[in-house]
Amino acid sequence: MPKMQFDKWKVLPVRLRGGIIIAIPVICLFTSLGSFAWLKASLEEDETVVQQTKMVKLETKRLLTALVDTETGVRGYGLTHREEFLAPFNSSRTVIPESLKQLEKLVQDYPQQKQILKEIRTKVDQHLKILQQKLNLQQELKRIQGQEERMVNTALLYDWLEEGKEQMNATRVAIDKFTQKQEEILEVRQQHHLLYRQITWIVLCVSATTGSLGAILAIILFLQLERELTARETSLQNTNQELELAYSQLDRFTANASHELRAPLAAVLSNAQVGLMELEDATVDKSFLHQRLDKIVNLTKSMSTLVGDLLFLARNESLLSIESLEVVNVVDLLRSLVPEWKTQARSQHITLTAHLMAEPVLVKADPNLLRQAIANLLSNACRYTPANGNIILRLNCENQQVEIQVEDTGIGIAPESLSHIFERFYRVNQTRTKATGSFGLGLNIAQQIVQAHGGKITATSKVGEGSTFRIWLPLEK
Amino acid sequence: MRILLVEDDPEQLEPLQMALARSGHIVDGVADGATARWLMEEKEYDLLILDWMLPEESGIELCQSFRAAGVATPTLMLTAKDTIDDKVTGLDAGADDYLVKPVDLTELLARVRALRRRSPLWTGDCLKLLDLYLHLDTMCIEWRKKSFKLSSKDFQLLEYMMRHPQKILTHAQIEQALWSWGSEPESNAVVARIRRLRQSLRELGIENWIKTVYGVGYCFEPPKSP
Repeated sequence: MPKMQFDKWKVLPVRLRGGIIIAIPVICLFTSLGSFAWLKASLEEDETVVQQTKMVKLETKRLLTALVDTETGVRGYGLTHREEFLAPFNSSRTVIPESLKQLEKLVQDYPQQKQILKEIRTKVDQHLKILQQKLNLQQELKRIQGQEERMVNTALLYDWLEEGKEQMNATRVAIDKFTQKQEEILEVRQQHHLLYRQITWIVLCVSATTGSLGAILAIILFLQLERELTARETSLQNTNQELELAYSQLDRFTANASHELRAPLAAVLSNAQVGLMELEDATVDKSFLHQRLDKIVNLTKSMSTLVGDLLFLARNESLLSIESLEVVNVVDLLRSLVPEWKTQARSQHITLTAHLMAEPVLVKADPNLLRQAIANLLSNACRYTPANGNIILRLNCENQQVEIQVEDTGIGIAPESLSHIFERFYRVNQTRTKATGSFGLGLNIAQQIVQAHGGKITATSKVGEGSTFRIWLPLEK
Repeated sequence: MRILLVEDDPEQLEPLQMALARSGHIVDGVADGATARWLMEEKEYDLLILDWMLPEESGIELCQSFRAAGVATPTLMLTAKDTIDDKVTGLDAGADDYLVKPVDLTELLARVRALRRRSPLWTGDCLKLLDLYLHLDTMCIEWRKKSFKLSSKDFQLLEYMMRHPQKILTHAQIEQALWSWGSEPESNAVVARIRRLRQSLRELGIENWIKTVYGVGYCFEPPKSP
């Protein structure tokens, strides 16, 4: 099963696999970083809460002390009517609002605590109000009587004081409740803190393990990919070497074939021709020998053409290399072909006319090969056009295409043969072919050349009326 | 014309040599570069015909080294290599003409005539002495409106003599000029050739133009103009 999955993995494109291999450690890294950042943030939040609670505790203590100070101050003043006892009361009166404000600030995130603090504030205000009232009353009494000796009745004073004490106790309870609540929050936070600490450890361990496993997996996959790529490269190199070898073998073969096939032909031809020359000098009539030797000469010449055509096909089987292509003016190329073929046509009593345009028509081509293709069409036209016939060579240019047209008034090709005429060694009709001395390679060569140039070649024909061959080539801009 | 033909295949060398000799040329046929090199030093040639694929030294290398040594003799490359690149290589190596095998002998002979015309020593297709014309391209001799074709052997001898008039030509000189390298003339071969040529000339009414210098050789001496 894992092997099957591995096979599935192997099928994936290299780019995707490379991406996955890189993604594994990157994802591990970012996940760990992300979780650590989140844990750190929540730990810091806990820390803030602890700090806040501590400050709240300190502040409540301050508040409580201040409250106690107010009470003792007022009580002392009540007993002694001495102004110096009022000093703690007055200082506490400035401390208390400050402290309350501070507390409010500290607990602003906790609505419950805020509520309690509100209550405390009202209570403290009431407490202070009562104390102030008492103080005012005392001071009023003191001013009215003006006698320092006539002290307030102690029992009465206690009553007054007791009256404020209840209020004081209620405030104290409220403050205690507030502190307790804060303690509870702290405890929750501390538990939370502990839990997060544990989670941190677990996440750390898990991410370390997954990270390591991911890294190992990535390394394994990478090594496997590298092995595969190396194997692929080696096999490519081998194929390349084989191809080069095959190519050079083919090259050598055509070179050798060229020599080996031509040498005996050359010997046969020269010997036959020398034989003919010798016969010319002979005084006795040996015309039968002459005919034989003539036949040998003609057969050797057509054999030589065949060898040439076959070698041409073997050499140019593959597509043309880009370097051999150059920008060629088709008008010039055709113009250079016309005189030679006019002479050839005239020798067979055929009229060759060319309709070319004055302005240059450019195509990207190997000029020698293109000339060969057109020459093959003209040669065919001459071969299959009877005396007094016409051959017309035309050049048209439309829709980014160059059309080279060879039209003849020859014997024509039957519809059933028309689709086969570009095949190698195809003979429309045995006797005709023999009479005209062709091997059926000319059109195939022309087609191969035209196709190698990215063009196409077509033929239309009517038996007894003639044929038209068209070469289309892409126009060079 | 004296031609050096280098071709390693005897089957091809022999008919070529024969065809060229029939057209009145004196042909030295050799099968390898070393012999060709040696002959080039020993003799003077009007034309070189080289095959490309030769044992050891190729025809191309041979041609290049001759050109490098300053040899200006017209050279014809005769080979089975037929691609455009091959032709360019051959002509760039110093050849004046390039023919692909198998070659039609009539074409080869026409090319040889064309190359002779290109030679700096060319003086026309016809040699003239008084009213006697010798047409080099057709091997015809013409004398006072009468003309006929000479055999190649007569033609070779007459051409040689017409090119060296009023000079005593020794047997050895004639042998060296007319017999191709490697063929040993028989002792009376020169005498026999002279006799045949005298006979041919006599048929046209030309008599006593070839004088015998006893013990030395012959002298081609047309009568002084009246």
